Amino acid sequence: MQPAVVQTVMVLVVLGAGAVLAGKSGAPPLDPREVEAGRVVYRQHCASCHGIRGEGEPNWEELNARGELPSPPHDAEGHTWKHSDAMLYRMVSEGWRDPFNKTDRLTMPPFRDVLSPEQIRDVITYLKTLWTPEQRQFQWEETLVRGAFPPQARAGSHHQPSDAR
Amino acid sequence: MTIAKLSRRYAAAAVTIGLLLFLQLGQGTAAQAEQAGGALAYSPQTDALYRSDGEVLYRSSDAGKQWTKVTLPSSAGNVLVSAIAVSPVGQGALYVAGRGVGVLKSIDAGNTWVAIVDGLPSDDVIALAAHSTAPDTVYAVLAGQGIYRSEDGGKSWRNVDKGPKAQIRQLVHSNLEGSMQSGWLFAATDQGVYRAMDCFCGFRKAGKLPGPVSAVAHDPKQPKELYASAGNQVFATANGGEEWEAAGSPGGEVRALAHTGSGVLHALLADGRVVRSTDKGRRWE
Repeated sequence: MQPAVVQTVMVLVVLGAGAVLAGKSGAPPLDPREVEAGRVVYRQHCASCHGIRGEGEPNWEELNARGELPSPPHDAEGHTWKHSDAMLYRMVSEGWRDPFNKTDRLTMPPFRDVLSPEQIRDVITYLKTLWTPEQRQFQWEETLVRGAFPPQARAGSHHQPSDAR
Repeated sequence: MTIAKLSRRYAAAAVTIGLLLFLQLGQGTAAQAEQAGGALAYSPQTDALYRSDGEVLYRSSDAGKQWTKVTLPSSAGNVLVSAIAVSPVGQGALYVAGRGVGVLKSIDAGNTWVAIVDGLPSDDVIALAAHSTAPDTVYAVLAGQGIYRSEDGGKSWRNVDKGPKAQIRQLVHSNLEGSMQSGWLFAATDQGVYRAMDCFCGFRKAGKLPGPVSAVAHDPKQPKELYASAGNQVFATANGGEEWEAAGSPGGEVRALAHTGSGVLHALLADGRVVRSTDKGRRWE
């Protein structure tokens, strides 16, 4: 067998294995380098509020004594997986407050001056390791419909949806 | 024990089980009919009202003075209408849902219908909501299955949420600002009104209302203004459901509410009457 043919077969085997690992989702496999980099970012900047394992704060679904919704989980028990890459990027970059909070401050602070676009992408990629295959499927399809990471966050990434808006 | 005795015992057991199943099914049907209660929707495209008493769909083109029956497809059998929704944008698609039929869609004011059930795990649809600004987006609440969303006019559905902890009776999509995505969903439930952004990151209680809430409606021109009914009373909020105040009583138990977006709030009462208010639910005629 020619080396080129062997190489092609190996690539196909790796891609097939990736598809199997991704379950029925069709979502592309996560880049291990992005996952690891994102894990570091998460522990340094996110875990203090969202929990070391992404479990969120206790009673995160109810307003606390200040009238604010506590930090939600990012694992399979939360709802982070319901948002597209574009939306998650915007939330991390620009911050967020629930419009029915009793305070005006951004309970989720903006990280655009703290993290680079690649770091924001990496930490979101890391969060995807906390979800079930079905949740990854849902989030991947949301990304295809509602938007991928912005161009400045895609540098050096090989795992972006090419057909996402 | 002889084979004949065994057969008789098995036959008696089968009859008993069958009778119990029959009684159980009978109770379920009665409960469904009671829950179905009635539905009401307004079409801004045609200035028409649609209402159902749970069994028959009616249309009015003169603000509820006269009603004509709208024929549903015979293939749908004995329809138990649980919800009506009209898309306020685009062609103004009319959706009707019912236990046993799933979701029916008409784009010609009810002259012709298509069943849009591909992707729904059952046809026990208990509530429907049309998106306030996206013409092809519609939501269906399935008994025990959560909330399904279609973004292609009903060609396909996907499960998007398990819904609030309470039992949904009516669902409405609102163009209220502040959502992460494109709007909000308000649900009338047996435990008050629940509210969620339409990205479905959590249903939360919207203010405090006494007892079960039968219906909820919003003013599309003033989306912070919503109306809800509990028993004979209509309540109003001017801040997206944070605080509610008693508005007025339409003169009977309210089964459904619909706002025209032009200052008129309609209420369907348990006796089948449709009444209207032009002063935010205070006085009714």
